[in-house]
Amino acid sequence: MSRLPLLVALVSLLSWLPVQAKESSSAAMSEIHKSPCMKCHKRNGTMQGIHGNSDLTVSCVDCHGEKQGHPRKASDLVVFNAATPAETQVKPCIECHDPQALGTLEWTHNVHSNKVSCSQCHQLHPTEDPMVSVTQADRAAMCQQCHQSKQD
Amino acid sequence: MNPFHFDGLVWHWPIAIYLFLAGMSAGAIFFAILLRYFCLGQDAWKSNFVRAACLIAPLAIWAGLGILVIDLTKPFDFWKILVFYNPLSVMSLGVMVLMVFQVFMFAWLALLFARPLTRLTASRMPFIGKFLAWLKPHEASITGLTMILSLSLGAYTGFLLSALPGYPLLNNPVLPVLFLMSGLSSGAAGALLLGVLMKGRPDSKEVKFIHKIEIPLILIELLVIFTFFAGLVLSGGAKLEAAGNALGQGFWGWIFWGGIIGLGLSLPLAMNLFMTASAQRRFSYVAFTASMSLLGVLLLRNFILYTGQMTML
Amino acid sequence: MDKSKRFFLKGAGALLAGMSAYQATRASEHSSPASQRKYALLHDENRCIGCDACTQACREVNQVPEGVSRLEIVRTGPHGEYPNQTYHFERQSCQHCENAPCVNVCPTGAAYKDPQTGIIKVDEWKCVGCLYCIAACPYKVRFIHPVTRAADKCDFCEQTRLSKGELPACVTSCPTQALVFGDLLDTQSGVYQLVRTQPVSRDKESLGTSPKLFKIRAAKGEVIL
Repeated sequence: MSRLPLLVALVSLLSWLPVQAKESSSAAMSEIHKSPCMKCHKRNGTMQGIHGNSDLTVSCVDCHGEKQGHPRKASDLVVFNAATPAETQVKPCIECHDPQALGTLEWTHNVHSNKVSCSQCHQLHPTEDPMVSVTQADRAAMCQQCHQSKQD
Repeated sequence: MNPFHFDGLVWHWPIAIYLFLAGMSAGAIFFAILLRYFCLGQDAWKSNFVRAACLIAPLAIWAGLGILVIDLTKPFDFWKILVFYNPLSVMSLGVMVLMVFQVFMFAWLALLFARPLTRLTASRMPFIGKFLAWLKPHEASITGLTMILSLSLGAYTGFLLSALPGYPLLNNPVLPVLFLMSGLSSGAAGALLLGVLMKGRPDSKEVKFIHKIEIPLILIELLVIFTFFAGLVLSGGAKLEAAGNALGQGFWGWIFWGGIIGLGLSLPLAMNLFMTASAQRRFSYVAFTASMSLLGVLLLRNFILYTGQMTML
Repeated sequence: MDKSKRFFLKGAGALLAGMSAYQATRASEHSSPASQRKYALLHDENRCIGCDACTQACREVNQVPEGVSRLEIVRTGPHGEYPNQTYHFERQSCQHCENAPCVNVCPTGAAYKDPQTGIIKVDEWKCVGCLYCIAACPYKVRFIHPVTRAADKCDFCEQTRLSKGELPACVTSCPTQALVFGDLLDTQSGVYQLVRTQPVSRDKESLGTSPKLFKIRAAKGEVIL
């Protein structure tokens, strides 16, 4: 249930791309890695997932925001971890991903909306988003990571 | 929506065929009894129409039971229905009625054919003659019980479905009456059709007698169908919705108005009236009318079974 | 007191003692009030998150094959507008009616209510598969088990867990304690307390089935016209 819609979403999103089959091998060479960010973020910045595909023309700043004073002075760069408010993290994602479409593919998107960040479940940088291959049992277990109440 | 496959459908057409055959069996023996005592008398067994009815009654009930057994998910365990009983279950009561019905039906058939049977078996199996002679004094009670049991069987086919609380169309007190009436008319139609096929004379007094009963029977059936659906409509809520789903649209709407009301009831009614008024009873008229009646009853069983399961509470 | 009178009294006393002893053993043999239970389940829809942990646990513990299910969580929604949308989750499983239509219609008595526990059970061997119970159940929770060919449904894990003194699989697997299982005759049980104090409801009560699956309805609602 959870695996198929995600897969369908990703595949349909990229169905017009002629290069999707070899995207992981060419990921290191894709346009996104020519970004100036990569000068420092060589290790933690590699984008091997679908978002790194050159034809998508996604750049680091599209999601993380403009560099501003980074790294020496303050900046509004978005870090996708628990320290950043969920709403801030969700904003760049829903620039492209229509919340309604996500909701019809997987109903849990609707209830978590902008209250839980996408990165709590999804990861874009690795070759494959772990959500793509999640099983029914994994899925129920994931719910329980947050939804757990003790008997009172 | 596919008329034969939808959510909530539990019982399929084999059950409708079974209900049809059980009703026809009850109706056939009912009309055989009427013909014997109110039309033909002692020599009733010589009539092709009575013989036809006496063939239909056991064959239909066996065929029906056969279909019922095959339709079980565990056909080889059917004997458990005959061993274990639940007095609260309509089906269990129906099985009891079916068993007792068969006993009395055969007793009555044996008495009907007592003379030829005694003659045929006199030399080789004289005990049959003795048995029939022993049965003879009980003829009145056997006839009465066979009549009551045939009516019970006809009504049972309706009670079976009306005992389902979750289906507002089926859970209807008029349904047993409707199925009894249509079962009786299918018995009459079966006897007429097989009778003329067995070279019974289409202008014989049996045909006239059956037609005389069939005309009011069809009128009552129409009245009962009207009451059935008027009751649903006036109850409102889910019952009204069920009536709308059944009559107002799609495949089953056509089956009801065209097949049941048109071909199955109005046409035979008109033909019977015509044949009675004009006194013209030809093979083709009688056979066609009876076929249409049978078609109507078969369609009615399917219509009620399927549309009944279409709307759930 | 003359002899015969004393003899009579003694005899009567012995007879009474014997009778009461007989009554007592008979009572414990059958359904003594002390050992009788009336199991019930409560589903708090406000706590349910629709994670399907219960349906998966049920399938695993009771070896329910794919394609059929003893327990399902029916989801309706979304209600409301992004980003504040909610869903309703309703439990669909055997309601263990006190007055069960499936038991009434079963021709062989294969569907029966266990007088000890109030659980509606199926005698696989007695079932012939006439489907009458499946048609009669107003809650549509019965099905034909593809392996046994007999009618099957939730039995509160009677076979798989209650007999070992464990709670039903759905109850223990629920991460949010949305399910409460217990004995309605035990006034100390959680389910009894909740049924007494909370606004519980049951499905299709107007049919007179007296189901023992209680529900606390979702507080957030939406009128759909």
